[in-house]
Amino acid sequence: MFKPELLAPAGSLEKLKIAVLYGADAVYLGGQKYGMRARADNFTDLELEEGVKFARKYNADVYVVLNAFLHDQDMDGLGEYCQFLESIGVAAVIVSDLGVIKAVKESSNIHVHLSTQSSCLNVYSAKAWTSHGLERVIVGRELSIEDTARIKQELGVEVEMFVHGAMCMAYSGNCVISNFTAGRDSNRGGCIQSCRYSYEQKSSGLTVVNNKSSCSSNESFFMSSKDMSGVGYVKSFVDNKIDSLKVEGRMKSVFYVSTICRVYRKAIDLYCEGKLTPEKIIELDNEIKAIPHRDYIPASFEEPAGSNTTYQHREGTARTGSHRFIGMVLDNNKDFLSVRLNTPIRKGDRIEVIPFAGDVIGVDVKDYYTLNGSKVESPRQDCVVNIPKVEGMESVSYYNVVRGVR
Amino acid sequence: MKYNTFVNTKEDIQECLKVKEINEVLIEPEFCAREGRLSIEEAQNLAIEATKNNLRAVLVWDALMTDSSFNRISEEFTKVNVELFSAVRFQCVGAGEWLREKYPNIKLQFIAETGNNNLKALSSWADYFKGSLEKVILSIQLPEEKIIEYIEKLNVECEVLGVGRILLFYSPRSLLAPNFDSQEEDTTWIEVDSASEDSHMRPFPTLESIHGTFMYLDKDQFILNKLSGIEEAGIASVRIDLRHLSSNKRACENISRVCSQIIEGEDSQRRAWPRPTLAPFFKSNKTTKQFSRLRTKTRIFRDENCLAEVVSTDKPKILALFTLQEFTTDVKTAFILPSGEKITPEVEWFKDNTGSIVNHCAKNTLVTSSWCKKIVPGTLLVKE
Repeated sequence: MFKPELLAPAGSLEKLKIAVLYGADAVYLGGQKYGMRARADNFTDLELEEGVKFARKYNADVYVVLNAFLHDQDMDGLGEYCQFLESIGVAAVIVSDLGVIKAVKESSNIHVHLSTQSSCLNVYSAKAWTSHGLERVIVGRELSIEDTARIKQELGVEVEMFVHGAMCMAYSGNCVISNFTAGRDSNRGGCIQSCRYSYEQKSSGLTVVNNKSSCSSNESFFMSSKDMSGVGYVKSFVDNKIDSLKVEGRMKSVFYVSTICRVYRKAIDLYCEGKLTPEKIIELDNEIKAIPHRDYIPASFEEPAGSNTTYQHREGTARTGSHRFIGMVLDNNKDFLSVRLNTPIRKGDRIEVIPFAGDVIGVDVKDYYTLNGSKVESPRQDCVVNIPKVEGMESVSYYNVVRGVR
Repeated sequence: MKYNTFVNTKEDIQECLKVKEINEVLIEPEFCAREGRLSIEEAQNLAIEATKNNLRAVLVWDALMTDSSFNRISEEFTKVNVELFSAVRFQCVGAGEWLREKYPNIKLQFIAETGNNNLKALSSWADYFKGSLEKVILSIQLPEEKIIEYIEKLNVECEVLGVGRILLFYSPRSLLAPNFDSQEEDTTWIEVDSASEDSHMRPFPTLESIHGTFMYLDKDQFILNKLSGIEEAGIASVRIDLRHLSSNKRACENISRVCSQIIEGEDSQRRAWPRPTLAPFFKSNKTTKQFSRLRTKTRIFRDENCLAEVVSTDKPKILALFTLQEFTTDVKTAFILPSGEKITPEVEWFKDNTGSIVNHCAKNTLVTSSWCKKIVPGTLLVKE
């Protein structure tokens, strides 16, 4: 049976390993140059080599983003970099600019995927782009599953859709607010996310309707998009033979990466085994809601995103997610789990260890110990604690994520 | 050097005729142009009027389209008498592809303002649409020296925006209508100013049309006083976009005055412009300059000499480190603090997870070491 690829973000080597171990078939990441996340540390060549080796060990592919809108001077060294990527086994590069596509093709035989940044939204666009020798088109987030499937049917090219995560409100590549207000090129990795702020809006000829006021000013988060979630659409993705289901979020936490990979892995596998029941979808949907998120919408999977798709909260102010990220297991020895804490915890807190597969392991922690063996009542953030093991924790391993109920 | 501008009415065309340097007018039908407000019939009538007066009539198809909307718009396009127009300008390469297939004789103009900031991209698209493409519209994010280089090296004509609003944001979603009731009859066209703390409450003009929502900068691009270099290089046309300064549904009120001032080289024009102006990238584009400061200072030390990362400190007893490669503990080491500062305290011992002192650390394991002053989580242990 056709089974789509689950493609996860890898903002670091650690996140790459977590994504693969939690079920991603492929990961995408950025090197030191040419990508869209200037604030991210991104991968050094050494980390990239190790990441590819690790992924290949688990039959996963690595794609490298070269999707910034490059200017002439940014293209220095691009050919040599592509040769390096090819030599270490990177499966494909993700590109948004025809000049970059040409440079990649002239210097290597590495596969090229068209980035969503190009806003390739229709069959004729895909036809124009794929005539330059692309293996895959990552369609714009504005596209429906049906429209995406049509591109595949008509052109025979692989198609990839974003199925989960944050969304630009603008057509990708068509927002340059940061360029003009902050001097940072949003399409070369410098986006300052102005869309997430509230805006006061005024016009003499218009009346505000949403607060039923007769005054002519209003404040709203009119450019901030809710997040997309496609876990309820896995059937449609598979039935329409969408080749790759992509998760947004190279800047997001290991909690996010592990949870999303685990949930979508389950959803895809269950559907392909004929076991994805409506009850199971609700269960998986609840599991996704463990992580911090903006309100979820089904993007434009069926209908164009409508007027109820703006997120009306200041970033970071709404408490979202049923669980909090406690930390990550660094070691599992005879008596203890060593956990690096992302947040403070207290004696008696219930923690849940998320295994790569199988059920969540919950435990009410009675005591914590420092690595020196001393008891500690309330371990602080950014420290490593030893937690006494309980039954069922034998298979817990390094890179397992630990969460706590809010 | 020639000028072009948008027209919405016959009065606009009459105004254009006062300037002999204007050779081309841009006509925006509502069904396919972002800011279009003309029916097909109105657009065609304007094209006839323009052609009759020796102006080239260019149909603007600059909306971006999902496949469903593309099918709807291209179907509508078949109702247009394309022969009335000298060329069609597009941004979506799918529109260009479709036009080339369905109307092989029509000339095309490619709006290359999004991406396409390098010669290889521009020349590759020019080659791809060879035979049909007569002009590319260059991005205002390109500095003058690059515009000159591209004018000289591309085998098609080039155009830049001389003066006009700067588009910041284009979304397909209806973002204003849910918040506002228009008191006007035309509910498909909403204009407001949007201001946020993020941009110091500057009022950015924001427009919703049937094609989505658009936000513009509160200052106009203005290079009318700096055209000599690109004129000398042979630029084909400079666009004068006065749509936002025109009233009564017109698109180029006062175009004759603007153009005559350019031609006469009046330097006071910029100071007298009705809105604040700027040309932020015409001299140089430094929008990546801040990036190096955004990255962590330890980044460059994550190489083959990087042995471990400090994950926890338990003052004044131990450090916890996660090893990134195997090493023997007699190797000469240093610590790189998150600030990038290098320090070389003596590490007295390393222990494994059983508490035994070790002289060899395996890769990807948790080890502890003697405590050292100043070290915090995120510090790297590197080989000297």
